[in-house]
Amino acid sequence: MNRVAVTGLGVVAPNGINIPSFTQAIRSGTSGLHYLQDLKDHAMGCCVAGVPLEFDAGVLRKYLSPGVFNSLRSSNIQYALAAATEAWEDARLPVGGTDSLPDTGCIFGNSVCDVDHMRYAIDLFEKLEVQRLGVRHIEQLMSSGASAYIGGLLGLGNQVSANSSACSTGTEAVILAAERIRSGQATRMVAGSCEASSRYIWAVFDAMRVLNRNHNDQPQAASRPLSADSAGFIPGSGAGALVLEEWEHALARGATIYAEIAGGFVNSGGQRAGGTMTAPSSVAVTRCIGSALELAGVRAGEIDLVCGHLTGTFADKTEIANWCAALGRSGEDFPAINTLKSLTGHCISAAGSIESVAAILQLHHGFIQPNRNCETIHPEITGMISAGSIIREPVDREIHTVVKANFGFGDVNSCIIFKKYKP
Amino acid sequence: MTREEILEELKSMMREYMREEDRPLLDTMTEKTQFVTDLNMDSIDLVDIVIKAENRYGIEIKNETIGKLNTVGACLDVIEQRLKEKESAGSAT
Repeated sequence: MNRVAVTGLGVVAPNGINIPSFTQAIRSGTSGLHYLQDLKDHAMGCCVAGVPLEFDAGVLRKYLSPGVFNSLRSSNIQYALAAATEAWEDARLPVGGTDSLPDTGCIFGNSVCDVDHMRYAIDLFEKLEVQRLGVRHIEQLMSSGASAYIGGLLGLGNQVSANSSACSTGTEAVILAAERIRSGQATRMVAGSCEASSRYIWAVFDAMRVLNRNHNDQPQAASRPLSADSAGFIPGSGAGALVLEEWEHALARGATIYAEIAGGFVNSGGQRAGGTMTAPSSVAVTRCIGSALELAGVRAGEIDLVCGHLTGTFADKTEIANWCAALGRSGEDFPAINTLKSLTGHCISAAGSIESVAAILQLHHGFIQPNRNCETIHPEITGMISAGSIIREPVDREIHTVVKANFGFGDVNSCIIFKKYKP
Repeated sequence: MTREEILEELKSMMREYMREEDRPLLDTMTEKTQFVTDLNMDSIDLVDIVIKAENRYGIEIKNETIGKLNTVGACLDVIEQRLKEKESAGSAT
């Protein structure tokens, strides 16, 4: 089995639209949440979202032909291309070569296409103007739109696919891509996921009563994972991208190794034993974390940092109980834990990849990103783990092993373990 | 409305979300009965029932409260409370 190195990182996140700005934001605990009047005007209960407002699709102009650039409307694909090209160039690989790369592929997931773009097409259809639509829409509206655009831009000749598993998508993409290298079927993979900034998607979560409606006047305080008064999550958007590379190949070309992917596991609770379409089965979550540790050959006692799913709903306390059970650690023995969502909101299908990028940056640079907005930790959570485990101020700390998990609708789970590279 | 009347209406709302084989459980349920563990209901369907109750009674139940409505009695308590608040707000104006 091949070892897998992470040799490139890219991101478009609500609180940072490239790796330098994102690193600074997570290190300092800077929020990317905004009040959006448009949501208020459409009778949403939650009017806050994590949107990469500073992102300018113009950064893609240099990579794309004018025809492609001018017709690119889907924000999920814009974010994906920006993150993937940043990761690719970060790995010191050239964009836009003339030959395809048979040893390099891409797994880049999303949950749904950009529904705002879909509506544009539907509106023209309803106005009997479908003949005016033009040719470059299905390639953006197909589920594999992002991976197809990335594959074409970078000339990828190995597997080029999109995965989709709701909020588990991003972490699952990284695990699937790593497996491709581990099994020897590819030397290099671009892995990641993206989520469009689509109010139509946020609206259906609002209707489910799972978004926080209590902090529209304090947007940066609206995402409150682990807090005693958390009342739902804040939706977000963006993309995260990683270049994964077979270990010896990465060493041979002198690539920067940000981390090793020690192992990962993906499973489902089958919507049994407490698992439903929308709630994860604790049995399956615990099994997923345990299997990831086993495959990575990592003991629970070695974990320095847990990067949780932790969205800011009443499910946070169940998640903490599951981590305690899976790691066999609780109270003072529980490792440090954080969640990026307090700064970005929940970037849905992009969450896992953006959070994986964040986890690796913490590992590489030796710091722990603070959890914002949990001034008062939920008492049931402090009943299980020490308050000291919940990092609330920026901390510079050498960490060696990070476990990260995400859970998605459909009772699906993914868990990955990153280790620091020691030359 | 009396608590008993609200309970009867709640039962008929719940019935629509329950499997046929589970519906007889409604005849023996008490205020301590839990929606998910005792009646085999999906927690997300409970949110739908809360939305129906909000529309039926013209009340609002906060998101963070919904997550705590595990039992029939807790659900009745919050509906009754919101109806009382609505009544006193109405009589004040």
